[in-house]
Amino acid sequence: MSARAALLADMAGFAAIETAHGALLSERNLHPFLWWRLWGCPFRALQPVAARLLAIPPSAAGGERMFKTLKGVLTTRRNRLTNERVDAQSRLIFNTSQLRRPDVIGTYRRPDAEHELLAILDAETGSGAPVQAPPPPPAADMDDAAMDWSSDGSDTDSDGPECMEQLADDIAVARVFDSEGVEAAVDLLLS
Amino acid sequence: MVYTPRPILVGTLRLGVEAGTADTLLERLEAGLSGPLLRGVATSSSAELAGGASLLSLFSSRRVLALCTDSPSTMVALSTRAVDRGQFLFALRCAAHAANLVASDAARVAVCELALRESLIIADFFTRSPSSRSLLRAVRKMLAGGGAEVGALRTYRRTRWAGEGATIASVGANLPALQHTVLEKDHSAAPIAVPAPVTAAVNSTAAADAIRRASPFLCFLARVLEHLEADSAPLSSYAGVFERLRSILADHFTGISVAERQLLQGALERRFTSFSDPMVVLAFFLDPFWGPVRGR
Repeated sequence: MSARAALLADMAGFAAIETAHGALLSERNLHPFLWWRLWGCPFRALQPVAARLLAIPPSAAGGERMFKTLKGVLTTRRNRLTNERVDAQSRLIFNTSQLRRPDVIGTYRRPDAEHELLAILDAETGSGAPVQAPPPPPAADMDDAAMDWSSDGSDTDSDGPECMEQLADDIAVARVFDSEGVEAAVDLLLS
Repeated sequence: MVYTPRPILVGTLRLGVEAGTADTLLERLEAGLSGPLLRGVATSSSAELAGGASLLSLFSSRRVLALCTDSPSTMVALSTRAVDRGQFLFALRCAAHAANLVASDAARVAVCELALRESLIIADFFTRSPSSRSLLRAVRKMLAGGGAEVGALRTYRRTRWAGEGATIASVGANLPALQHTVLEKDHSAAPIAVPAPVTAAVNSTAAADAIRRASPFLCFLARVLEHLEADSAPLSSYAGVFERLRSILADHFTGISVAERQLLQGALERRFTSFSDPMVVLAFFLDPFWGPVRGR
C-alpha cells in the first residue's frame, strides 16, 4: 500500500472510531499525545505523526518564562559577566528546575476553559453529537479517500447493514477531509 | 528553548552585541542545534528532502520538528529560512502571542475600549496612591463585614493585553467599594484628593455598564491564554480554542452588541489564519477531544 493510501485509510479509521464512540467521552481529560500512544496502534501510518505533532506546545511562552531566570543571573550588581558565563549559568538554573518538575504530559488535565467551550456545544446540540448532517464529499479527492479506506479496511461485501456501515464510514471520511487545512497538511506530509 | 515537551534551555543570545537580523539569528540557531545537548537529534533534513523523502517519513526519526516564534518580521524571515534549509519540518507563530493580539484588537472595539480606559484610570490611581489604597482596603473590609463580597483590586502588566481582562473584572467587582471610597474620602481621618477623572470613572454608569458587558469575554480570553501558554498544552488547542471562541461569539457573550461581536470574530479569524500552519489544523483534526467541534 502506498504511503498516501495508508495515511488516508488511518485518518478515515480514526474518524470512524470517533463517530462510533460518541467522541470518546471517557478520554476527554487525557493528553492527546497519550491517547495516541495508548490507542493509536491500529493506525500505523498516522500514530507517529499524531503523537509527535500533538506533543508540540502551541506557544513560545517557555522562552519568555526563561527571562525570569536570566534576570536572576544578570543583575545590576553582576552586570560584568561574560556572555558565556551568563549562558551557562542560565542553562544550569533553568534546566535543573525543569528536570525537577513532574512529567509534563502525564500530569496534564484539560483546562476548565476548554471543557466549558465543549459544554456550550453540548448545550446547543443536546449531546455533543453533530446536529446537522456532514456536508457531502467534494468530488474527486473524497472519492479517492473513500476508495482507499474501503480497499484497506473493509473485508465485507456491500449489502444490508454493511452497506449502511460503509455509508457511515464515508460520512466520517467526509468529516475528516472537509477542511482545506487538512488536505494541505496531508499534501505537505506526502510532498 | 527546545520542548521535549519539557522545556530545555539550549542557549541564550545576547542581542545588541551582533545585528539582530534573520541571517545572524539563523546562524546562532544552527550553532545551538548542533551543540552537545542536541547533537544527533537536530540534524538538517535538507539532504533527505532533496533525496525525495516525504515529511511523513521524517516524523519517525529523532529530530526537532517545528520552530515556534513570535511574529516580528525578523522572526518570520528566520523561520521561513530555517524551514527552507530543512532545519525544521514546519514553523508556526506563537498561539499565546496571537491570543494577546486578539485582546489588543478587542481593545479597539467600543465597549471594550471604554471598559479598559476607565478601568485603567481607576486601577492606576488606587494601586499607586498608598493612602487611597489603604482607604479602599478599609472600605472593602467594612463592606465584607456587612455580608457583601468584595474582590481585591488587581493589576497586570501592561504588555500582556489579555491580562487586562482580569484588571477590568477586578475593577468591576470593586466598584461598590470604590464608590464608597470616593464618598468617604473627605470624612476619613486622613482625607485624600481623588482626581476628577478618577471620580468620574468610578461614578460613571456608562463605564460600569461597559465593564459588566465586556468583562465576561475578556476574562474568558485571559483564561484561554493562560492554558495556551502552558508547556503541556497540545498543539490541537490552538485551532480548537480559536475556532470555538469564534463560533460561540455568534450567540454567547451577548452583553456585547452583534456588530462588536462580529468584529471580534473577524479578529480571531485574522489572527489565526495569519499565525497558523496546516500542521496546526492537522493536529486539531487528530485530537479526539475536539471531535464534537469537528462534527460541526
